[in-house]
This record gives sequence, structure tokens and C-alpha cells, in this order.
Amino acid sequence: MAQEISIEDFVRTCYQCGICSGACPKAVVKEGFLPRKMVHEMITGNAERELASDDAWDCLTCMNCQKKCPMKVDFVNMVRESRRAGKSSGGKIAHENTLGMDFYNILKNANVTPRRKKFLAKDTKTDENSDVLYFMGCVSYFDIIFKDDVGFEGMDIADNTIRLLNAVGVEPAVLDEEKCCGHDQYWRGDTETFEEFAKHNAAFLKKYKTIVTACPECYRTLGVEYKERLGIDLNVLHISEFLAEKISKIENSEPKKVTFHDSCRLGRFMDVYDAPRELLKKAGHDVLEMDKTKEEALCCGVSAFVNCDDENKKIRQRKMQDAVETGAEIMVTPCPKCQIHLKCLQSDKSADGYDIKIVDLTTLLAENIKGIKIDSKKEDNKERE
Amino acid sequence: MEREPNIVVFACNWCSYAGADLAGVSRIQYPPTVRLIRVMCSGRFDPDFALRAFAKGADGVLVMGCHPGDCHYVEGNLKAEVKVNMTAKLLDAVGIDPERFRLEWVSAGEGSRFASIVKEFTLTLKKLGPSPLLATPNVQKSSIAEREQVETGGS
Ligand code: SF4
Ligand code: SF4
Ligand code: FES
Repeated sequence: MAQEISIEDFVRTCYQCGICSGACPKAVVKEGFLPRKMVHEMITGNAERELASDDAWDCLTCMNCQKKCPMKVDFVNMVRESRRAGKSSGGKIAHENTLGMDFYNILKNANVTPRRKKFLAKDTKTDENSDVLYFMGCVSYFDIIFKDDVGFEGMDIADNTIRLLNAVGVEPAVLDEEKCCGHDQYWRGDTETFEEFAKHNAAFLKKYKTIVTACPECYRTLGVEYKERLGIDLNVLHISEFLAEKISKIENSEPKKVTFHDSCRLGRFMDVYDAPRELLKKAGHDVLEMDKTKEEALCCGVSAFVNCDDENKKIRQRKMQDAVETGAEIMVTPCPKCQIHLKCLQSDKSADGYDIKIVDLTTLLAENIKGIKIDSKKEDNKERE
Repeated sequence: MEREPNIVVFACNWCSYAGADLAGVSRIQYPPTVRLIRVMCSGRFDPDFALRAFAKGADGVLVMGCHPGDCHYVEGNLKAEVKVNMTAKLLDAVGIDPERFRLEWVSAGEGSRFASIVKEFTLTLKKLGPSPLLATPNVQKSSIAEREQVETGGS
């Protein structure tokens, strides 16, 4: 397919106010990195020069700038297209030895079927004929790669998501055939691989009425990118939205002080801020807000595993500092990858302090799974409909 | 003729590569299914070595190092063990039988052990058949066509 829209078209409306540079967390830690300047280059005919620089790869695609832009400039898609144009080699993939090209080349091969169900805990109940599909995403691979290194409990997220769904009376389908949603490939500018994954997944996802995911990246990709890029229309919900609607209360004898990390894909990209907080409150937890929260929340410091370096580490340190300063005992993350990145900093011997536990939303909620009360009125209404 | 599997071996310079050498000079017979790649120590093994070998069409991958306690660099082989275990799980999760991938200790004096490992591994791979990544182009084409059918119009 020819490129219908040029990169400049994403940003043409910019009037150079500079608000984006003021909102950008990367601009604080990297001298000379200014989103306004990047846009300026694009709209003043210097696109070639801009594409040859590493700017596009330094950006976190966190959307902090875009949310503040008075002209609604589509900054992150400009960055994605710039990466796709591929004039700069400035994109270094962290953990390339495990998550590089070869891993995804194997995964996308039509003749291999990944194994997922065999890694699930015995007490989880799944049913292939259900209306609801749980899209697991890459947590099963990340569990293997990052568990020993940084203490990332990926399969706990998958198990607990299914347990929570079971607790509200849903036995979701989980399919081995499911492959990566293609999020990272898409944001690294590898649209071809993304499309291969999307077409593969769409073939069976369409059979399901509702798709639930516990990963904000899958949520965004399946819900928005599949539709916008390929016209694949799916009904996708984040686990927090799905549960918030069904659960009326969670009895909990040990409520804790927690703070919630708004990951970019769930928050700024999908505007889901309230559902996870609502669930935490229903479980009696005291939700403390960070200095920068919701739309302004700081990024965990890296996206799509691109360019994780010292500067990005500084962003992560500020994020952790923000979380510690709330006085909470637990930072709740909705995003498996944010958890990996933040735990990576915590397990770094040179960076001590940050005395706060990092726990996934599903894992924290599942601690009180016996106390879950279903909103029966809503259930009835649903059935009558 | 029966198809012979392709095996990529990462052998450490100080023990296993010398072991393979000994098998050669002692004229011990073993199947010509292996391609040896010498690494200074099995600790040099990186998960991507195995992933790339499979992505490029290997049917099996072997990592060979000195016996525990004998590593020229003290504990490189123990580090290899950790990485190999992780890689095996990753291959399993992504859909490649972990039996196609293993770690073996071979010392410089164990030419016959080298040969018997290769024989035995070759047999295992013959039983498993060719790597799933190598399915015939026809199969691949038809599955692509199938997938294209489900593609809805799009933009
Ligand atoms: S905030 Fe928007 S309009 Fe202002 S400089 Fe940045 S991109 Fe341009
Ligand atoms: S997306 Fe984030 S990192 Fe990139 S320019 Fe905007 S605010 Fe900065
Ligand atoms: S030198 Fe042989 S395994 Fe380290």
C-alpha cells in the first residue's frame, strides 16, 4: 500500500506555542530534545533532516505533549511514521537478545502455535465456547524472561485475571493460537509485522462477543489500531472496566494505602482513569494520588522496549519518587510492561530507596477474591436485555 | 533418501570443541548432521543464538561446555545453564518443542561422548520431524490465503 498521508500531515496545524516541550518528560532529562522543535523541522520543509536524527526514537510516545496541545497535533503518530520512514538507526531495542527480531520471526511463522494454557494455574477455569475471550498478550513470555531478573510475575497476572473473571461468573476462552497483538512492532514502525499479527489474530477473535485484556497495550492495539488500520472491529474491554461494571463491593479485612500508576496506553491513549480506581476503592483501599497523576502522569520511562538508557532511567526514578512521596505501601500498575520497567529499577543495586511494593491491579484485587460481591441488579438488567 | 536434520552446535573452545576434535582424529563415526560454531566459553551463549538458528531453519540446537567445575572461566558454564533453561522455556512457550534444544557437558577427552550425543540427538530429531518453521511453502501459502480471506475490506 502506498503511503497515503505524509508525515508532515500529522502536525501541520501546529502554531509553535511550545506547550508540548513544557509537558514532555523526556525534554527534562535530555538536553536538546524538544517536541516543538521536531514539529518545526517537519513543517518547515526539513523533514529529511529531522528523519535522519534520532529524535523519533528518543520520544517515549507517552502522549503527555499531545494531551496539552491546543491544536490537537497528532504527535505520537508523527513519531511512529518517522520511525517507519526509517532514515535513522537510532532505535536500539532493549533485551534484543530475547525479544529481538528473531523471537517475533518465529512467533509470526504461520506453522508454529504458541503454548499458553499449559502455563496457567490449575484452579483457573476457562471455556472455549464462552462469549468472552481473555487475550493474554505477551505476559507468558515476559514471565519467563523477567521473572528471575527483576521479579516480574507475569503468569500471576494471567491467572488472577481469569480468577477474577471466574469470580464474577465468567469462564473466559483462552486460546493457544493467539499471537502477539503487534503493539511493539507497530510503534517501532514495522507495520508489516503488525499487520501479519493482526490478520492472524482477527481470524479467531471475531468469534467472540467481548474480548477482555489485562494489558493496556493489547487493549489499545486490538481496540483502536486493528480498527483504524485494518477495519477489524472488535469489542475490547480492559479488565478494570469489565469488573467495575459487575462488582459492587469487595470485602477486605486489610485495606491498604495504595497509589495508582496511570500507564500511557490505558490513560492518555484510552482515557480509562476511573475504572481501576473505582475497583480499588470498592475493595476498601485508600487510593492516594501522585503529584503528577491521570492525564499528567509520568511515564514509566520506556515504551515498546525502544532506547532504554540512562536518561529514561531518570524518568523512571522520578516516577518512583512520586510514588514513594504519596506515602502509599503499594503502587498499583495496570500494565505488565510498566511493572517490568519499574521493578527493573527497584532491583538495580545502584538505585536504592524506593521503598514501595509494585503490584499488578489484578493481583491486588485477587487477594480478596472471596469477598467479591456481584451487583445483582445490573446482572438482571443485562439478562433481560 | 531420508531427510537428515540440521543441528547447530555452540561448543566451548576449551573442552567441547576439543572433544569434537578428538572424535575426529580418533575417527569415531557420527552422523554429518552437525555444524559446529566455536565460542570461547559456553557462557557466551545468548538466547538469541538459539532463536536465530531456529529462525534460519535449524531443526535442533545444542550448547556444549565443560563439565561443572572445569570451566576455563570458572563459572561460565553455570551461567550458560541459567540462560539455556530460560531459552528452553521460551521456545516451549512460542511453540517449538524444547526437546529440540539442549545443553550437554563434553570434556576435551570425551570424543566418544561427543559422537554419541550427536547420534542420539539426531535420532531424537528424526523422530520429531523437521522443525515446524520449515513447513513446505505450499502450506504457508494456503494458510496466508486463508488468513487473507478473513481480512475485512480495510481502509
Ligand atoms: S503544543 Fe501543539 S501547537 Fe504548540 S508547539 Fe507543540 S505541537 Fe505545536
Ligand atoms: S510523546 Fe512524550 S516523550 Fe514524546 S515528545 Fe511527547 S511528551 Fe515527549
Ligand atoms: S570454558 Fe568451557 S564452558 Fe566455560
